[in-house]
Amino acid sequence: MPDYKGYAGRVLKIDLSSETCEDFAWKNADRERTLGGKIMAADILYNHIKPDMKAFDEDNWLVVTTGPLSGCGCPSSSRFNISTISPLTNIVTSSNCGGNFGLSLKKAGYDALIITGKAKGPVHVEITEDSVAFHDASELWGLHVTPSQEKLPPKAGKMVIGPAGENKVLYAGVFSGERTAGRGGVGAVFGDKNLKAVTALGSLQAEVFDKEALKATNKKWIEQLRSHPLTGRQMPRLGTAGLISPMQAHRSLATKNFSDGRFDDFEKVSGEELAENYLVKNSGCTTCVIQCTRRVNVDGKVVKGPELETLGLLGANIMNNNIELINKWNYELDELGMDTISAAGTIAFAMELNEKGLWDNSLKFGETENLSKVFEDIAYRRGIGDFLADGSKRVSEKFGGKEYSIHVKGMELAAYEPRGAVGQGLGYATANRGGCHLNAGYLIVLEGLGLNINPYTPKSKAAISIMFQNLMEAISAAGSCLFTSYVVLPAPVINKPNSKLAKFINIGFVAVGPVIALLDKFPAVASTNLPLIMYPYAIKNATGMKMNIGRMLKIGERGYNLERQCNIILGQGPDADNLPKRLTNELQVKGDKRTKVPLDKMLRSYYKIRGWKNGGPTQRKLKILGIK
Amino acid sequence: MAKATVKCFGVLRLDSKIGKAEIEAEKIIDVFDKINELIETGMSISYDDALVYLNGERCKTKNKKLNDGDEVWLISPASGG
Repeated sequence: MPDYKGYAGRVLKIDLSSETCEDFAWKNADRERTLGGKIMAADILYNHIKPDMKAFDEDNWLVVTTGPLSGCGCPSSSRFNISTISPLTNIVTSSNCGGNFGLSLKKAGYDALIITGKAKGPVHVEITEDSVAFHDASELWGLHVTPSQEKLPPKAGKMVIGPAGENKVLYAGVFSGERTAGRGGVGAVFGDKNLKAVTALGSLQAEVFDKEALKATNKKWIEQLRSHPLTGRQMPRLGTAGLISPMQAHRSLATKNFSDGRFDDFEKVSGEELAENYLVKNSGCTTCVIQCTRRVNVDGKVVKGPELETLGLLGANIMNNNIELINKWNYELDELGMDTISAAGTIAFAMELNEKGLWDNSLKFGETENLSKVFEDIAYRRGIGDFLADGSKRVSEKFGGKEYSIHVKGMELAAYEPRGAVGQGLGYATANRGGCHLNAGYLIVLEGLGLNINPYTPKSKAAISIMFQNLMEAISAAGSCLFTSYVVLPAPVINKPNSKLAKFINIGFVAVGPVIALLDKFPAVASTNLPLIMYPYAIKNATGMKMNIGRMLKIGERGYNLERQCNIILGQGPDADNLPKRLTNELQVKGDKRTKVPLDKMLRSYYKIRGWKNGGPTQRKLKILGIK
Repeated sequence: MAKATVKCFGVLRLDSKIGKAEIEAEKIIDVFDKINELIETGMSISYDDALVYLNGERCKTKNKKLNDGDEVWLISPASGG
């Protein structure tokens, strides 16, 4: 059988220790099993990792993957993924990025890149169609993210780290243009390997299976994204920052280190404030038609503005009402090269420790004048920055406050306070990479932001979480932005949230939980296609692979189980799916018993539907999924 | 008639150009007529278009009576981030 189209067809494995490279075998059966992206990476890591392996071991692999839809003209589908053992969590992290490296890697002829070993000194790896070169990067070492990229070949796709990665801040990111593979400390693994930069340049174009059919699919898909109220109107105009106000309304805006879900000054640090008074223009990742990125003015330069997570966590969560400072900090954190979510979450926790007298660190809620220096101290591991650079979990192990150290599996939570959306709480707890809103299944979009299903009931939340976790896993593996999935939310319901139809759907979604659970268990039941869900059409027309919703769910389910199994090999225990006690034991609103996360109840249901015991798949489940 | 403050959020605010308005109305449903009188952009907002919050709590009753000093939020649905 000929190789599937849509793929570049080769996987490059490079060894930084010996400065050598070779092809890594990846065949049609592997592509059918994984699609690409994070599931491909999990598959590769699963066959490599060993129980005693750590993030900063020379033998820890960095696996950079693309999806089949990247480079095929599909809208908002230029994402690439970096997976590795995370220094922050000691389990596998998968970090997704909308920069230009993925597309360039494919143009150079590769679907994925496996980076092994450790360079003797700072290195820039240059990948072209014809060669792989290892250049001394001593002159780049120490530079911030933008100056680093400016010194690299201008036309190449790039991945670089900043000072935070070089100094192994445990939540350092990898940067490609202005976009970030932010979560889990992939930048620290780059830094540990002395890998300052990777560039890729080529002119190869992946052949597609049915050019005309794909063109028609993409045209329809683009129209769908542009006409949908969320992807065509709300996101381009307000960006992700537009969520602050609905989160405030729904009591899910993380405030004062997640001690509350509402911030009195939310309007001063909202998406509306950003859009009306600071937005220079909107932009987006390569091939994106949504264009949710904000561009703002910082000290006379037009730079990428804050996303929702940064706005929330450096706003309400540290009691800061100065949006200009957030714009500036966002730029500084990007230039230093670290994840704004974990940095902000750790600082909020440190503020509470200081307030409670457990750690005299001078950080105070609402007092924010010195934070630029604190960010630098983190990046260069100076003073209190050296502790903060290790993240909330390690800070709590040193200074106490475990019950309000807001992380899951060592990774800080995103800006959604889950006591106002308990399904999101279940997702946070079960997310394979830790406290991630996306890997969680992102139920808050249904629990009050997009749809309005009951945010406090545990009923059906396990089934719905699993469906979205599996679906989003497959969407990501295909190379698409997860925001493209919002078009599955019916436009009439989004446009008319108080209509009878909206009320019917919001109630109905919870009522059909048992049916969704059935789909979770037997995804083949959904072996069909729907006009609203374009991914299967695009994958089929790009690659020639048989595809439908059921197959995507099955691939996603296998991917989710595979990542979980990787974590178990790396030592993840049966109690890892948990939340900080503040969120499960304390009421957010005094006297309102609904306002805490009933995790145990939802978790029992979650494991039952997943076919898991003790926090992981049973042997029977692994056999069914073909995981050996 | 009660004197109330109305705040619009999301695309409703960007489209209507109304962030905050002081109005007089008897019930929640009347708020929309009053707001539409103030909008100069050509658009209008109906009860079905917005999630309605009264003094910070979700209001699902269009005939709910207003009192002096009430604050009404009109919020358009959003996506994720």
